[in-house]
Parts: sequence; structure tokens; C-alpha cells
Amino acid sequence: MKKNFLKATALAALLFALPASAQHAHHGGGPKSIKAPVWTAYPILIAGGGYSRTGTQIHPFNLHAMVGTSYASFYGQGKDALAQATNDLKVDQDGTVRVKSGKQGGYYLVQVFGHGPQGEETTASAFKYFSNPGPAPRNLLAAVRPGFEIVPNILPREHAHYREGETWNFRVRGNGEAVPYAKVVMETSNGTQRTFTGDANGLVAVTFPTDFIDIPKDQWRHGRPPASKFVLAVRHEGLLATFNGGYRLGAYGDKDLMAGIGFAVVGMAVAAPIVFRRKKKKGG
Amino acid sequence: MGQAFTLSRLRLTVQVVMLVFTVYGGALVGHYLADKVTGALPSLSCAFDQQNSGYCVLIPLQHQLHHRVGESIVRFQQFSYEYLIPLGFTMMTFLLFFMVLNKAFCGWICPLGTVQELLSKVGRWFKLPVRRLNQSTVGRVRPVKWAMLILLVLVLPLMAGLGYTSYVTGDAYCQVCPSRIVTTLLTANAEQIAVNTADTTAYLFSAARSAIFGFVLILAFGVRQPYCRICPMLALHAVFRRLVPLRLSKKQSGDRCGTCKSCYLACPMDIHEVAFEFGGKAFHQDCTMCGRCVEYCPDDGLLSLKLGPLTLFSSSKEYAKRRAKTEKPDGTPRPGKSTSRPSDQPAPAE
Repeated sequence: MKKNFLKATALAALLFALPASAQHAHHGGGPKSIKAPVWTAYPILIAGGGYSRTGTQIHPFNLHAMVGTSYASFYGQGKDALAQATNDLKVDQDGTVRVKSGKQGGYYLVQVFGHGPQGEETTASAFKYFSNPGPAPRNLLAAVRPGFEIVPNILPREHAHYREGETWNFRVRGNGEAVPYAKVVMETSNGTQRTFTGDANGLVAVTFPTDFIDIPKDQWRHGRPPASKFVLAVRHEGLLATFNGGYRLGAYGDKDLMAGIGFAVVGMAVAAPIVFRRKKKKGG
Repeated sequence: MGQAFTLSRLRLTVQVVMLVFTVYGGALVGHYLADKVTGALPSLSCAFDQQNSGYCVLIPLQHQLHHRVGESIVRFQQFSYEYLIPLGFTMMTFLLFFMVLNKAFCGWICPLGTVQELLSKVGRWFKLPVRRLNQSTVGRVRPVKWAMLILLVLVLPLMAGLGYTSYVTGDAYCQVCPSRIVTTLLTANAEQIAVNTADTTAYLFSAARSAIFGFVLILAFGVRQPYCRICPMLALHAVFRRLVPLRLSKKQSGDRCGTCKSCYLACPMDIHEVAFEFGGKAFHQDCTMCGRCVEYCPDDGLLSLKLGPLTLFSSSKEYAKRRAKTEKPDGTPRPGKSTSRPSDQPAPAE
């Protein structure tokens, strides 16, 4: 009896201690290259360390991660097709989740389940894109998944991104059912906080803020500043769902439309005499 | 075939349908890249158009030379034939399409080709004269497409991957391609006409793109298919044109051919060889297989569009006569016999 009591006490202590140690690991531990976010307290998933065309590591922050699931994009419809595209993910001791894509690339939805900052049951979602060819994510986005989630209604195409000033729809669902009039909080790494309200069908139109701060050009890559980060968070009946990703400078953020039109007019002016000159009259 | 049928009308119908399909077809075949018809289309269907239904082959060619070949050589400090495998797949996909239509991808499918042709029709409606290029000018312009292919599509992207040139040159051709502006403007997106201010190289390339766009836009009212003449896709097609069963064919006909020059006058690319050469030489590297030369040739069976041994469309005196009643070889419409101009001779252009 005493033995059992000791065992139970040890187990309780372990269980009690786990969230704290896991949270600690997620805030300050993990790979040194992955910085803990200081711009949000909401659970987010950050990819990094060991990315390749066939897999990557996902690091949950602000989340006591219990278990994860990855969903590959898939052809076909229904539960069987979804089941084939589903992979259960183990959460490592340091909180890392390893996503394997193998030969099939394209969009993967990664969801990590656990306890959020206030101990609420949480689903943190993010998309990862792998360069190998794969199906379009249309069926994946429409599929009925268990749990409470916020996911994009449509994703940017390859080589496209969420950008400042653009409005994109997201969908709030519980076990596949639309959650109407949900209040969605957006926080960005540039310091913006906004709230959006969904419609009766669970669709939330989210406008990305124009909040990029000046970043020295030596930190730009491929002629553009690095992406900023955002998280969307929604609460419903004591549950928390988040979706996080990146967004880029606006369409004209590093472009000059008037100069472009000016150069086009110069081109037109050069061509105009060729097209509009009058024919020389014979003998004239 | 009724009076209303002409090869040009059929082609215009196909062109308009394909313009809509290539520019807005994402709504039909799907929004995402994985839904697209292909990423190696043999015409200038631009990936910057977020609603398109297929990508131009020049995009993966540059992309793979930049990232898969150039950057791999730098990373591993050696060359391996494995780096060329993605390029091989791209070219195989390109050839799968190309084997069906040959250079007709230019004359029947390409959205930029269609837009230029529509602008040319507007020019004719406003009675602007057709400015033909003389043989000497054509001779000077022809090598430009090869320079565009070699320098902008092949060499500069590879140099960018090797680290010798700016990242901007990783897709050097796309940086200056006017189809990038034309197709995106058709989706009400003016972003691609804007100049990129990220750095000097990006600024210069994007400024060149806008200037070329403006130049081509106006020139197309008077000069037929101005951009097609220097397009690297035309050069890429020229490399493989002899492999494909669909082709332009011209029989030997002794001395009587080469006198009326109707085929030459009808050719939007000003290919004089079609009037004076025979056999394979008449199917010139600049041909876009629009078929206008066949339509206007008054010699029965001399010129034809062939698929292997099958004749798809052949020249005939009757058809050419009927065709010339409604439109001059240079594309100028004839409202009626009484209003037709006395001569079909072109206005000189330099």
C-alpha cells in the first residue's frame, strides 16, 4: 500500500512537473537557431532545423505539446482518403515534432495538440510546403478533421505569399462544423493586434496589416525583406485554436508604379514615330 | 466549308479561347500549381499571373539552371550529370506538348502573340499602315532571339546560381518579358509594370521590362508580331521544329513560284524565304505556323499544313481569291471591292 502510495505520488509529481518543464523547454530550449517568440503569447509552430525537400522539424512554442498530426495534401474525397494522408507525430522531449513528407511534396497541414498558456485544450496549426511535387491542398482544406481549428480557406499558390494589405479568408471549425461569428485575434511580429469577426458560415476575412518596419537591406534576401510572422487565435467553449504563418511586404512595398508607367511611356514614345509617321508621297 | 470559314477565323477563335484559358484558366483547372495543365508550356503563359492555367517552359528552365545546376556546383564544388536531371524532365514535358502542335504554340496558343495580333487588327481598323520590315532589317533582327535564349534564359541564370551575377538574373528572361505585364494586366493587376526598387540591378531589369512592354504595345499597331521576332521561345521552338510531324510544307514548282509573293506579304513575320525557297527551307525557323501563307497562296496544293503524310490545309486558287476579297494579305480588311486600294504593296519600314 505504501509502495503504491509512493508510486502514485511520484507519478503525480511527474505529471505536475511535466507542463512546466515542457514549457520551459519550448521557451528557452530547443535548437539555438530557433528563437522563442517575444511578440505573442499564443501557441505557435515554428519550422526550422533540418529542413529538406522530404521533411522538417516543427517547434511548438507557448504550448505544452502532447501529440501532433500531419496531413498531406491528397487526391480523392472522404474519410479513407484523409486517413491515408494522416500521420501521427510524436513529440520529442524537447518539444520538437518531426514531419516527414517523403517523395510527396506540396502543402502539409501540421497540427499539434496540447495545453495553451492558460491550460486550455489547444490546437495549433500551420502549413508547411515541401518542394517535391504533390497534389493541390483543396481536399485537405475541405476535409473534416477532429477537434477545434482555424485553417485557411485557400492557400497562396507556389511562389505567392500572404502580403501586407491583402485580405484572405480563414475558416473556424469544430469537428468539421462551422463555428459562426467567431472572434479571431491576430497578432504580428511587427506589433500589430487586430480582431476580426467571422460570418455565419465560420469564414473570417483577415486583412494583413501594413506594418512592416524598415529592415536594413543587408538583411534582405533575394531582393526583399524577410517575412514577418502572424498568429490567428480563436477561443470557443473553453478551447483555443491558433494558426500561424508568415506574410511579406505589400505588393508595392518595394516597387514604384509611377516609375514603371513612366518607363512604359518612354517605350511607347520610341515606338510611336515608327507606327504613326505618314507615308512619303511619291515625288513629294 | 461555307463562305464564312477561313483558317484565320478558326485560328482567331482558338487564339481567343486559349487567351482566356491561359490567362484566367486557373478558375477552371484549379487555383494551385499542382492543378495546372503544365509547368512547361511552349508559350509565354506567365507564372506571375496568379489566375493562369499553365506555366511557360522558360520559367523552370531558368529556375533549374539557377538553383539545381549553378547552386549545386557551388555547394558541392563539382559538376555532376545528376544536376541536369530536373532539366531533362522539364524538356521532356515541353517536348510532349511541342510534339503535338510544333511552332503552332506561337501562332495559335501564345497569349502575348494573340494580344499583339489583336492590337494589329485595331491598327488596321484605324487605317494605320502596315509597317513591314525589309529583308535587311529582318536579317539584323533574327539573331536577337538566339541571343535572348542563350544569354537571358541559359547563361545568366546559370551565372546567378554560380554566384557571378545578381540574384535578379536568376530569372533574367522573366525580368524583361512583356508577357509578364500583359497577362497580369489582363487580370487587373498592375504590380508587374511597377519598377522594382530593391537594388540597382532589379531596377534596371524591371525598367527595361516596362519600356519593352510600352514599345511593343504601340509598335504592334503598325508592325505585325513585333515581339515574336525576338522571343527566345521562337528560338527554342526552332531547335526542335524538324522533329514534329505537324509542319509547313511547300512543293517544288519550278520558276512560276516567287512572282506573286502573296505568301510573303501575308506572313506576319516577314519571312521572305517562304516565297523563294522550297521543301524544308520554306518552313523557316521564324515561322509561327499561323497558316496565312497557305491561305493566300493562289497555287493549288503548293503550300500546305501537314501532319505527317496527312494534308490538313492546302492552298487553292479559289480559296485565296475568296480570302483576298475580304482581307488583304497584310491583314487590312477590304470593306468592299469599290473601296479596295489599288496596291497590296507594303509601306517600307526601318
